[in-house]
Amino acid sequence: MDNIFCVVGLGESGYAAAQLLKRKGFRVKVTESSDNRELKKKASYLLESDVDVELGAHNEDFYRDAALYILSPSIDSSNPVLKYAKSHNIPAISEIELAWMYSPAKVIAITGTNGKTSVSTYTHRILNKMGFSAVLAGNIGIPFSSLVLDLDKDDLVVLELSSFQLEYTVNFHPYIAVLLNISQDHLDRHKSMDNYLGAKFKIFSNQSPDDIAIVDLAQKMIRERGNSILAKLVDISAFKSSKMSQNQKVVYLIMKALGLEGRQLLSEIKKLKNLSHRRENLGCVVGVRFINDSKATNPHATKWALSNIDSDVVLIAGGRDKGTNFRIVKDEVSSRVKALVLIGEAKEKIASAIGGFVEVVKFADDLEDAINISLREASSGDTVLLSPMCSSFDMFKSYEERGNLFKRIVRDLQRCKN
Amino acid sequence: MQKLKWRVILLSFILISVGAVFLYSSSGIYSEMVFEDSFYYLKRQLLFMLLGLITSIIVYKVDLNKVAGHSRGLLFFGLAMLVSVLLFGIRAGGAQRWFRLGSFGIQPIEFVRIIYIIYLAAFLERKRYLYKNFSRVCLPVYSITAILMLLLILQPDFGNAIFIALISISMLYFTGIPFKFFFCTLLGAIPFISIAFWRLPYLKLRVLGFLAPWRHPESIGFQLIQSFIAIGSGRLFGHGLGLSRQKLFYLPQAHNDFIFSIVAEELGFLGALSLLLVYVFLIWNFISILSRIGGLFKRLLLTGLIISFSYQVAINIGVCLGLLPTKGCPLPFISYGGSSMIANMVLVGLILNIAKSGSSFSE
Repeated sequence: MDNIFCVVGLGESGYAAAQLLKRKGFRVKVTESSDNRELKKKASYLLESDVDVELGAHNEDFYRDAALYILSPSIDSSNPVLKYAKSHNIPAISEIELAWMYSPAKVIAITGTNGKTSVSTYTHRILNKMGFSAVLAGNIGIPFSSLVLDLDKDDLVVLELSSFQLEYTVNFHPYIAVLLNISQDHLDRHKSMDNYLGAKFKIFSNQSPDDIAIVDLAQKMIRERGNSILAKLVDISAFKSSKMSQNQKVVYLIMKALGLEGRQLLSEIKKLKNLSHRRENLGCVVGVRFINDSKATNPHATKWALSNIDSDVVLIAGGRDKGTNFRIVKDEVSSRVKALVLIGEAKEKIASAIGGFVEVVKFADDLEDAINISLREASSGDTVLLSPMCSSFDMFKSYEERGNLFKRIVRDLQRCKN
Repeated sequence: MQKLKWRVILLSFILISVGAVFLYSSSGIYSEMVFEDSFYYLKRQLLFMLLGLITSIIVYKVDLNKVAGHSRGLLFFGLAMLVSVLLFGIRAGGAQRWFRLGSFGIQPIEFVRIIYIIYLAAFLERKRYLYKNFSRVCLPVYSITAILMLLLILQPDFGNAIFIALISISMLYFTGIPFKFFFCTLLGAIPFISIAFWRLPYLKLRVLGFLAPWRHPESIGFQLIQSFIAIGSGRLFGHGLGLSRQKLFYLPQAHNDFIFSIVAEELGFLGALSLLLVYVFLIWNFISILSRIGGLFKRLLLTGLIISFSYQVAINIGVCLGLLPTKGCPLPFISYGGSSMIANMVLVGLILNIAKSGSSFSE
């Protein structure tokens, strides 16, 4: 058979899906309605491996001969390609579903309106601490398709999923499915709460009584639909622990479902409380990953943070100088940082110390300004790192306040741009 | 009789061929994507057909009177299989129903069902003068039924447990057991059913998904709704062979339990009706054989086999149409699945065997 598979949208997921299908030896097309330098770069890579790419429009002549459409998370029901697929009865699946078909590994899927990034990150971290071989993917900014072919049977995949990604799954079947909470957002796309809930509940659709569903039955909307879940139900609200935060509880319940218990687990989970503001992965905005390392009030911490990032970095730094030597980070800065965005009292001092190792150095008025500048400097696949090397007291009460503001701004951006 | 036998063979062959075409049509893209071979399922199914053919030829050759003499031993073997699948079987989809043999799965119930029918036919023949005696005919049958059902519910496989009960009741009915005994059965079944509903939450969900699929469109009602969409979109003439869209991704297990919906989608109402007619014609031929043979054991055995075959067809199509709760029941000769294919070919082999002895009787 000579089927053509058409990927809709050339974001990170779409790009990874196209590469996955190509590696599997299929005929692949990609159609993307927008056009910019970054997309052109991706398109040219794909063209080299014989993938047809259409940028700037969805033309029916281009995409109509496909036997299957693979949807990027940003595609909604008003998309002409999706409308065409529906009216012509051609199947359309999400990138998650595609990757799932090739996954030999068990999946722990986490969704919910709030907190899914933290829970996913924590789960991934603890699993690796407890000796599992786990990878983190999904909404967090690493497409499932990009790593699925490297997995094997004993690996675990921690997937952070948005309702958009779940909406077009069919056979997707996580071993552990977590629905943290539901509150009314994304309603613009899901038209009504019922559809939104429906999309979220698709995480449980293919589960059997051998699988595990972790949900918060204290929430009325979840409890009402809870009777449609086939998997073993674990109720988050039934698990009482005054010492743990909500996210820690969920992580603990996931570990318990995997058969882990004991002192080491508890002590690892206790440490999670301090994870906020320490190289905290906030997920992506238009393909750019954001990391909050507000706790880094000295260059050593920043040096460590930088050495743990593989991609190009836009570094946001500055604050109140404690009389430190910023040149400590010069090696990491020259090898990884493509732009330096500076805030606070120490701007000039930092610029004169390490500005020479970076192509672009910008001064920002405040944190929000810094984030906007960073987003302009970064391209898809890069990381924006807030790792100030200074204390926060010139602009904030504490590093927590600085970190929380950073997180809030990034969340707002995610809401309107993704 | 010779003509009847050839008709049975021809009709079975038609069904098997239709099955092969639809198996390819409904699994092609999926198996190409997952196994990089669009013939993956078809090749396996052809292998099952070959195995089934060999087994059915052996079954055709055996002396049925000897089989009747060994019916107890066969039943013990069947029970042993069901016990060992609980101990050593593999779990899949929340149930322990399969033995693993290399890359193939064997589902013992498909064979145990035939064994049970053989046993029941032999038992009822031995007790032919005691039909009015509840404790010497009905009670033992009900006890064995209960044991089989229990073993199946432990898997859990509630659908096949019900199937076994239906076979027992139907065969007792056809032997001419006094009607009042059936009421006792009904009363006896009530606690079983209540316990099953109470202990097996998935059962409740299945029934819920069947009664109100549109209230749970993304979970328990999903399959049924997709089946409706497939059947409805086929209209009178269908989209054309190989042009089903539902099968690929929207209908999970399209090449197993919901293949009838795919037939309806691709060949339309007329195609689905024709397929149904082939089944009816085949079953009608089975019944014609029944009317021409003598010997109580053989007649009972044939009755049981016809019941088993017809119920499979009725249940599968009933599920696809939303007339019965969703239950994983293969459509004989058409659904993908080695155990079902081989068992149904054995079933036809047995029927032909019975017909063979019948012809000498009538001529």
